[in-house]
Amino acid sequence: MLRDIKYRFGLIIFAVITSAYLIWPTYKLYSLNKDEVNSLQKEEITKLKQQSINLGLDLQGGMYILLEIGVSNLVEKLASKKTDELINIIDKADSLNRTKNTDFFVEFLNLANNQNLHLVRYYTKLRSERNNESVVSELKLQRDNAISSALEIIRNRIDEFGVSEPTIQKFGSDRIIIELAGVQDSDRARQLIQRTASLEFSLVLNEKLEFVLERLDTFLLNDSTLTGNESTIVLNKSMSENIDEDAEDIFLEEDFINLPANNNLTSSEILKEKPFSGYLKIIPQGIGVILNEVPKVKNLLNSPKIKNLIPRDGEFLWGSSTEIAQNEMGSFIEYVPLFYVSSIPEISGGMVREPTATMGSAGSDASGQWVVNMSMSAEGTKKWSHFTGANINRQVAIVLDDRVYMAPVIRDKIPTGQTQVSGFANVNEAKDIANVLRAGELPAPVKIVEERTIGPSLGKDSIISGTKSMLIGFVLVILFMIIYYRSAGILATLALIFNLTLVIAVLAALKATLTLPGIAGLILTIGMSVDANVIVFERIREELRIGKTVKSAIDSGYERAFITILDANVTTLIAAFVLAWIGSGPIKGFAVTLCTGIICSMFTAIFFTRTIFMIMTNNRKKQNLSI
Amino acid sequence: MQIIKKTSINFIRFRLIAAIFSMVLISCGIASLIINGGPRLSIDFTGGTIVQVQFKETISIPEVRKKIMEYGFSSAEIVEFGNPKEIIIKTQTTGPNSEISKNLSSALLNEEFLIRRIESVGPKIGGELQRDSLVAIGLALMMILLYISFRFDAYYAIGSVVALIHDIAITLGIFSLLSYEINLSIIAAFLTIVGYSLNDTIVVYDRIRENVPKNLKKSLSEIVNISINETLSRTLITSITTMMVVITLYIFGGEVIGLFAYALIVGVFIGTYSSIFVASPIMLYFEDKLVNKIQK
Repeated sequence: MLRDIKYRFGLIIFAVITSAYLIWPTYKLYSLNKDEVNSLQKEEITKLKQQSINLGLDLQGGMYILLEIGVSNLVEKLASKKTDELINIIDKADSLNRTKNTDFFVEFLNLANNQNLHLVRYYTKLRSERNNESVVSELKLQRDNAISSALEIIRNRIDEFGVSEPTIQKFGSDRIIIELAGVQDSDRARQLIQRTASLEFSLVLNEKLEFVLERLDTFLLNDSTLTGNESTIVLNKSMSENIDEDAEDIFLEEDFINLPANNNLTSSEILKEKPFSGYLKIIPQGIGVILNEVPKVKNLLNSPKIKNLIPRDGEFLWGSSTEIAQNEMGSFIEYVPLFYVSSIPEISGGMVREPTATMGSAGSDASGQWVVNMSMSAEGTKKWSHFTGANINRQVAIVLDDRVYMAPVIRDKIPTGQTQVSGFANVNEAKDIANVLRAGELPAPVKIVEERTIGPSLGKDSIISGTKSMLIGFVLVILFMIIYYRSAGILATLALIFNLTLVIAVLAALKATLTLPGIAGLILTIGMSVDANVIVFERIREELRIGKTVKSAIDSGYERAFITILDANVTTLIAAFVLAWIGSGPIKGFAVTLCTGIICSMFTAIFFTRTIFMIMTNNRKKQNLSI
Repeated sequence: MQIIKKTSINFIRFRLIAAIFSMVLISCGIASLIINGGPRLSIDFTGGTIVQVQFKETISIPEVRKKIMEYGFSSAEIVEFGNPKEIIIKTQTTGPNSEISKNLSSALLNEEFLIRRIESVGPKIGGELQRDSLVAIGLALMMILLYISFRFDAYYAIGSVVALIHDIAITLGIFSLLSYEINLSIIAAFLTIVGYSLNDTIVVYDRIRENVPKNLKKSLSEIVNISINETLSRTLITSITTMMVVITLYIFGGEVIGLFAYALIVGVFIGTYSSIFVASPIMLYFEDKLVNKIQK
């Protein structure tokens, strides 16, 4: 008996010491004041953080993003021959995947088989056998590779962004979860993550512009359905657009909204004669569209009918920033430059080496501006040298993600491959673009399918209200237990404190993240873990009522209650496990705390309290029990 | 101290009244669900955007609505959130969060406000979360059914699962009647209710199992009654302690967790009731059917 007590007591002491050891880093981290944080080494704090319970995004504020890789874009990109039939079934499979939630590849394979399309002819570069199934499984492999490399690239980009301990992980077969604690500049983070970073150097086709404009004007004069005041429609559309719409579209429209009404619009007389080219104005930097009219022109350019009229070797691209110039009346107006460039790039991003953002050197054109310097690979240098030599005095557009950052005139042959890009809005943009170019091009575009931004003030409020309700709940429960069960109630209180300590220790050991639902789980644990004690105490009371001695009442009370508690807890655990398994983010946090709470309560409410009862009844023959 | 001394209430006698009571509650809920065309799902499941905005001064919602109408919030639903200075704007549309906050800033130029939270969920994700949640609840119920069949007997399992479905149906119905939204945390609450109610039911079942060999001459229905009475004190005390913390959570836990706590309050109440008045009578009913069949 005595040996039994010693061994039990030893185990409890061991649990207490282990818990204290595990909780220590968490306690230390959150009790640091500002001066202490500053005096500590950065590595020390990182080490502390790694050993302690971290706060979830909902408690400390930040950004949660769920990305989906554009599988259909990837499949299209991988095709070596892009016929209308292939594009058609890719689009169909994509829309089925979107609307009916079916697997893209299953639909793609079905459609290909139904239409007797021999996929191997379109994917000659893949190492597959001749049948469609084999091609599709090879494409799936390519998707897996794409997601892994996207993961790596995004991780590199975010590392340079300077977020402490971001979470970036694969989710399912084609998604990536990104959690950025403390990030509030969600716009910048989005841009950084979503940029495909495709850099292209393309010739500006000024000599063909006139022909294209004439063609568009003639068409629009005969077809009035596309003209008319559409700016308001565009405005509302910008919100109803799905997240997956092209990212670059957002940029201009939001600036547009902030502008006051402007009277300097193109007069309707001009537009009557030139419904398209009327919008284009000559500005010192080339051609520009008045900022307020950009949505109208965009609408025109995006309409399928117009798209068909533009020759295949050219495309209209917008400038990256606005230009201010004087109009005929002499007032200063903001314009967005528009370029007509070759759709076949001379140089692409893969050939770029070592991009870095610096301040433009004094005396140069870019003096005082932020620029990105870069060199080129051997192949790129050769191509670039050849291209610049052949096109002296022509304009070349430097295009990043379909926006023209600059369009300098080639003065000389550039034999070294050294290039400088300017035209950035601010230092952050130049730095981010250099960073993105360094990290590499994403294998396929990524879409944000879920985005949650929590402000830090909301997190603080949640912590305060969470702690407050935990304290109040705790006090109420222990008051009730002590009033109802007297000394035994005090024992249950000790067990409850012990239980909470253990739960926190286990959470720290699991490196768990504490979320608001997690706090709720802890609070619920308080309420439910006393249940085990209630079952035992009620049982002991029953045994005493039928006339058993104190010692045997305790013994049989615990013995009989144990099975009940076990069965009851296992079933609750089943529900909690399912939650932890299927749920994500905050829900998982709740399930993990609940599971931990239930398991720990078995130890504290049964093992711990029984040991104390054993010690109390061991020495003297106890005649009555305060229960 | 003792609230409940030894009792001998004939709970099984109330089973008809209990059945009617439960039926009325469930039918009200179902009626409300039919009228409303299903439960009111939050953006977690339908896809959409919610924005939580805190103003410096008390604001009038119609005025805010008027101001933000033209900025892409024309079909938005605006409700007060916790206090008169804070609102939630919900739309079915989604867009980049940064764009939403910029649009709000241009719409509310003259107000001092803070955007505390923006959550947008794409429609595809919403559909998937909906499916996952249903799978989670279904899977949990199945596994519980299996465990109880293994530890007790098939008719105990049926009784407990009927009680669980009963609890979820009533909670869902009450949410529908009050037109509260079902979001991800409410699903978590449902599963917690499942766990809690089951806990209660198992304690009673366990006592029945223990009492059967002791009272071989008594009928199962009598044994059930004795067992419910013997465990009544524990059932109520645990309900009281759990209720204390969930009510505290509801009052002090803040708006974000409020609905979750509310679901738990309803669930603990219904769960306690069902473990006494639903689980055991249903178990008895099926035991009766099964045993009689074998005897025939």
